[in-house]
Amino acid sequence: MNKPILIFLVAVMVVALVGSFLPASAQKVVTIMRARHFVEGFEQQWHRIAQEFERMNPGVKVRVDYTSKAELEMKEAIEAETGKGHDIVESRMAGPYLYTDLLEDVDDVIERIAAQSGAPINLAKEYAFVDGHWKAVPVEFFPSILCYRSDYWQQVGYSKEKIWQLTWDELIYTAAPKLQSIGHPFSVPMSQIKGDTYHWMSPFMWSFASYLVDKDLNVIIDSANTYTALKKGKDLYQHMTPGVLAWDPGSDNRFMLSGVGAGVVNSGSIWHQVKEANLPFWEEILYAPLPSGPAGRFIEGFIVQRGIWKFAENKKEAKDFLVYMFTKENALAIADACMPGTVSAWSGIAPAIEEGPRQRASEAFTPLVGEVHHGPDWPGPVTGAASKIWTQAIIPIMFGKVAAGMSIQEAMDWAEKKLEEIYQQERVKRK
Amino acid sequence: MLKEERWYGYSMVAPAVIIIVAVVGFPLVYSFFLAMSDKAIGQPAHFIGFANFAKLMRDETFRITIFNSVIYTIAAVSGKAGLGLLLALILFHIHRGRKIFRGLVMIPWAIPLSIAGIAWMWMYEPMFSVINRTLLSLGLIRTPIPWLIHPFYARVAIIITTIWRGLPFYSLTFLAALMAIPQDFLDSAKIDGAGAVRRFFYITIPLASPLLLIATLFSVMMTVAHFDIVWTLTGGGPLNQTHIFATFSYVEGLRSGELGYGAAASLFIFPFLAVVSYFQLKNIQGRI
Repeated sequence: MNKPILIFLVAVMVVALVGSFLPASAQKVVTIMRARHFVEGFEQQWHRIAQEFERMNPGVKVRVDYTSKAELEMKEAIEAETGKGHDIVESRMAGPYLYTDLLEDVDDVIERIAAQSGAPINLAKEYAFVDGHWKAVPVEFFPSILCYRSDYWQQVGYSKEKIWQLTWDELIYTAAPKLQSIGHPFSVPMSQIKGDTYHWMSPFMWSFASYLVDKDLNVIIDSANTYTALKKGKDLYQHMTPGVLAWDPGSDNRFMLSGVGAGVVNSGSIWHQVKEANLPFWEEILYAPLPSGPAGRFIEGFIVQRGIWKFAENKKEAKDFLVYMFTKENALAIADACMPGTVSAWSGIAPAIEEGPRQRASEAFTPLVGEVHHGPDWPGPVTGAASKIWTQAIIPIMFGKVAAGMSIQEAMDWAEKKLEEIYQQERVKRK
Repeated sequence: MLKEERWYGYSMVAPAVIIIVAVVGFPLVYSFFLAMSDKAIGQPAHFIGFANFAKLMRDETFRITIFNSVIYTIAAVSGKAGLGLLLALILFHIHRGRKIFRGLVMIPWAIPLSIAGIAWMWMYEPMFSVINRTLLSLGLIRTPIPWLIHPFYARVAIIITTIWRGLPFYSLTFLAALMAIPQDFLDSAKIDGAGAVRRFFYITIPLASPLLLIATLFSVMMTVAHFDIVWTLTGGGPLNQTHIFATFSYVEGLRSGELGYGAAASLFIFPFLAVVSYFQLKNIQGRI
């Protein structure tokens, strides 16, 4: 190696060595890990808010590390286990119950936001208020809604008003066969790869009074009502597009964007994608409440929150950022950008969504008709088990087994065994 | 050996030993510790002996996982070895445009696996995808093949994708082995009247076999511990029918937070690989 290069390398090493011993810069960086939002408008608002926050707080920067939804749980688990990681993490579903001891109490943050944007909605409280303390700051929830092509449904005799009054029985035995016969089937996922599967399955089961656990965490899935729900699920499967057993997270969007699909459940992003791609049928994409059943009409609210680790390096700045994110003005801007498909978790913001300009122009808004509950373990209490049931896809697999030919009783027995293993641990924890 | 020389020798191998202990030994011992505990994320661990292993043996999904892992490894490694050897022979005999063809062979390896996985997933899509459309339009099938929907076809799809992904490694390794065979041997055999098939089985294969066996050993180890392809294509579905060790332990260990149970599942690979490695290395030693 020639001499100048050697001198250069030695100099670089010396600078690096000396630099590592110097005191850290006075600048603080609030680090955040989250999944990229499916609505681009959310990202734009996020960047605007982060930039404003940095301007208002000299010496503080905001850094976001994006991860896929699929990897979010794994990365959170690693951070929780190692005690190192981001200041703020995105928590989904029952995350605050899984990491109760590792998440900072954010009661003060909730109080400061509530002063401007109203109290968090009850659904948010069910998920994030653990043992008398707020463990995460609720952001929004994704309600399960019906996304449909109005032109196809009109072809088979269904007006908007009729769709809003739909029952599951009418969908399964009348509408779905008709839609299938014109080559534009209605379809919902029955796969374990797609987390959204629960989004229709839980409300579907609830509408037939089929539940996984009772309030004391006893597994009650083996019931006549579950039998009925599974039987009807299998009947619906006969009229759907082939492939729902293997649908991935983007399948429902592709199904509708291809122009083939007549309807799916839970895809606020479809309207945005169709509009952005300027597809000719974008005005035909509308939303309706989920069908009802003998026990009522239900919505599953998949809630998203932001938690601050106890081991976070910049707790104060992280809290300040979250408060600023949900000032009334910012929360309204986020909520409006995310229409349709998501609903703010703040009571002072959520009703205002119904006044948003975008919905009036397109009629594509979020129809919140029905009881909103967390899933999939309602009416049981929220526990960490909810996340396990979700990640192990127990209910989608149970439905899939029946659709693939297993007897209903065998499928219920299988699910009961899996649920019992999970809830046994929860019951022990409670004692 | 002088005492100084012995210490000098130890000091020379010490860095390698430290690295192996840190990179291989510690994680392995820690995995055993986890597997014998009820460790859950964010919770303290308690020693529970072999309870996790006993639970695994009662787990129907895990029994399917073992079956899948064995079938998957045998089919994928056989496919990669057979097609890799064929491709290597073709590349060996191509003279015009040799560099271009060898570069093209590398493409499956050069594409990030996450992107390749998504591309394959779309190709297997039953209604709109290129594979079924092509087969239907050629009249080779009457109804779309339920790739990724039916457990059998899902396994086939995973194996095809794995072979596609691993082919460059095999073909280039085999090509290197072929190029290392002295041309004199082949010429002498040809003069003695040996045809192409005889030359292949009596000269090419015996001389190339140590490298082929090492490549196969590596491939077995890589394939049995695969994760990405299965996870991207099926996530272990449909109906938990395509899990292999890595995806099963990922779902049970990391996604469900049961680190102990997940570690026990992943350690099941260990004896399997140990046996395979022992016999293959013994075989290689006998040949060198």
